[in-house]
Amino acid sequence: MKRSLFLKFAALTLIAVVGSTGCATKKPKSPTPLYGARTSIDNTAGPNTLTNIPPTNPPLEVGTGIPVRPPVVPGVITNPPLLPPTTSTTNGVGSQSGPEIIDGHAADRAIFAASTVYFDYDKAVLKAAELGKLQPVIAALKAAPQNKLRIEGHCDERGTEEYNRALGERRALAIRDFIIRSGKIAPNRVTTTSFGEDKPAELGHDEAAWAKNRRSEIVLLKPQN
Amino acid sequence: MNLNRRQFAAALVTTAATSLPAPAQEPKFDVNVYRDTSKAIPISLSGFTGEVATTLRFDLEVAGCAVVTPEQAQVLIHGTNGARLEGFVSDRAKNYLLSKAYTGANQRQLAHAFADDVIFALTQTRGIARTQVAFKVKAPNNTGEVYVADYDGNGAAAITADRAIIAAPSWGPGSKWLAYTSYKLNNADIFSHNLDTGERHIVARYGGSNLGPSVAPGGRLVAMILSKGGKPDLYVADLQGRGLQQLTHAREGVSSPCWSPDGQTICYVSSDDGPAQLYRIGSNGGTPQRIRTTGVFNATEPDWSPDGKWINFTTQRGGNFEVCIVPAGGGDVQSLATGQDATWAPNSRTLMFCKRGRGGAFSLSLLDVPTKRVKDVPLNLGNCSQPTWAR
Repeated sequence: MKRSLFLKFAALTLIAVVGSTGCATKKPKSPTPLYGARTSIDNTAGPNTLTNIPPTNPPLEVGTGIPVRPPVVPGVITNPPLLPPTTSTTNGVGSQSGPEIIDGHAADRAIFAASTVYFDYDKAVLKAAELGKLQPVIAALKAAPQNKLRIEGHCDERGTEEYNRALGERRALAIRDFIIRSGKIAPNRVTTTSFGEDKPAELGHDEAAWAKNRRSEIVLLKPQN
Repeated sequence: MNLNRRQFAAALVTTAATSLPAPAQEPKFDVNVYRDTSKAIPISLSGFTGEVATTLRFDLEVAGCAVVTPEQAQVLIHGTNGARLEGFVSDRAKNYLLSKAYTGANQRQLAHAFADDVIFALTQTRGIARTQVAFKVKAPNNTGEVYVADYDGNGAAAITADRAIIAAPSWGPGSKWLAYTSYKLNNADIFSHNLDTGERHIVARYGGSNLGPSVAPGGRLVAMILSKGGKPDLYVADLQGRGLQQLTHAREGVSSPCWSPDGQTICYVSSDDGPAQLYRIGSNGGTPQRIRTTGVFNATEPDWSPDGKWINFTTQRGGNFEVCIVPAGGGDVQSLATGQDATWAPNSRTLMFCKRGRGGAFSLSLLDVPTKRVKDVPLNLGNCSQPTWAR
């Protein structure tokens, strides 16, 4: 009787011991801290201050093809900006309310609106049917030697973004080449830029809209007076 | 010491419970089983609450785990989160692979830290839960800003306030620099931007378009597309635009450069032979070589994996875009998901890419390459595209 009671007690103790050690294996008492978690909050630098880049209009040079705007000398455009500290930090570009200024010239987008050239899908080849649109442009350049042109290439949305940006540039360059060669216009009077698919003329997602977005627009640049 | 105690306990259990039915013998977790395979790791999660639970689940699912019931799981993950996070990882046989506590950061950061440790314990590869991405956010008026965010979209913040069209952000050395194209000065120009100071440099502002900057590993050079020579061609210069060198002389035009991880080679897209194709060229120039992409007819927006083995790119089939990978030397193409313009995570396993929604706006998603599982990045910023992963 006494003996069996003792055995029962011993068995219970054993079970208790097993239970407690089992718990200990699940949750070790001295977990190691992780360094990464600590360092990650020390990085409170946060977003940087924004630099307002003063617009620059370096003189245009004639390069092998297109007029070259040399990069600004390293270190010139840095933070703080070279503007007086009291200057307002609102942007001059992209939010101006007056006439659009490009490279120190007044931009006229309306005058050659009818000369917007359209392209086939994924092509930068100037179609013969479109060439006639460029004659008034060439004539206007010859009549006013002080004026310049900017040709802006665009794409439809069917293409990846950077591929399209290069495609838009190829379209603008095709027109520039034609105007320079066919119209005997000085190369430094015609610049190009590409907007890729970022400035669609039509917002739809069908062929009708896409056909209107695969285009190059011609902008007349007049000296500011 | 823990191990000894565990062995002791296991010995006690086996001696004390001989009368009980013997438990089924569970295999020890073997990291090799789940290394570079297409099988998701079945895990269970218990004990975590709130932001820690959701963050942990997101991180582990992106990294190739599938959350299942404890009965189905091969790996049991449990713990608690309060002032500190305690996390434990064991296999079915109660072999503990990890037991750690985390303090000193907010709940989300603690969860990311634990998630990275779990992934290292399970796959022996470094986790990506505490990495960052940059991307483009486009407003309805077509202007945009460059944003930086955690890889899961948390903490997104604009690093520009130019209200101009922007494009193609690319991370520079130490994730402290970004290069990108901005139309702020009324032309497509390339800037480098120090994220610590806000200091910006003009890398390229030549006549014509200055496009698609890609900073070399190590950050010494920027590859970019300039059209000043009459065609969109590939050039390299340093982060301040010095030492400009022209690498290609395209008949038609090139785009979208990216670097091999050793910085010796640049992969780019050329349209010289009709449809867009991938090419490679030495970072000092030389003869371009075609990278064969067997099975697809066009390839754009390449990105070279940090381990050097793969190039991901976008192909267009019919009206759809597909994210694909090809061995870096060229070969058979694997199509992974519907979407475009993917960027590799530092682990060379996860991709972030963008998908076009019904209304035409892009959104960002994550893709686990071996399992092909996709998870959308929760962002409420509108039209997000051109992601680039800091690595």
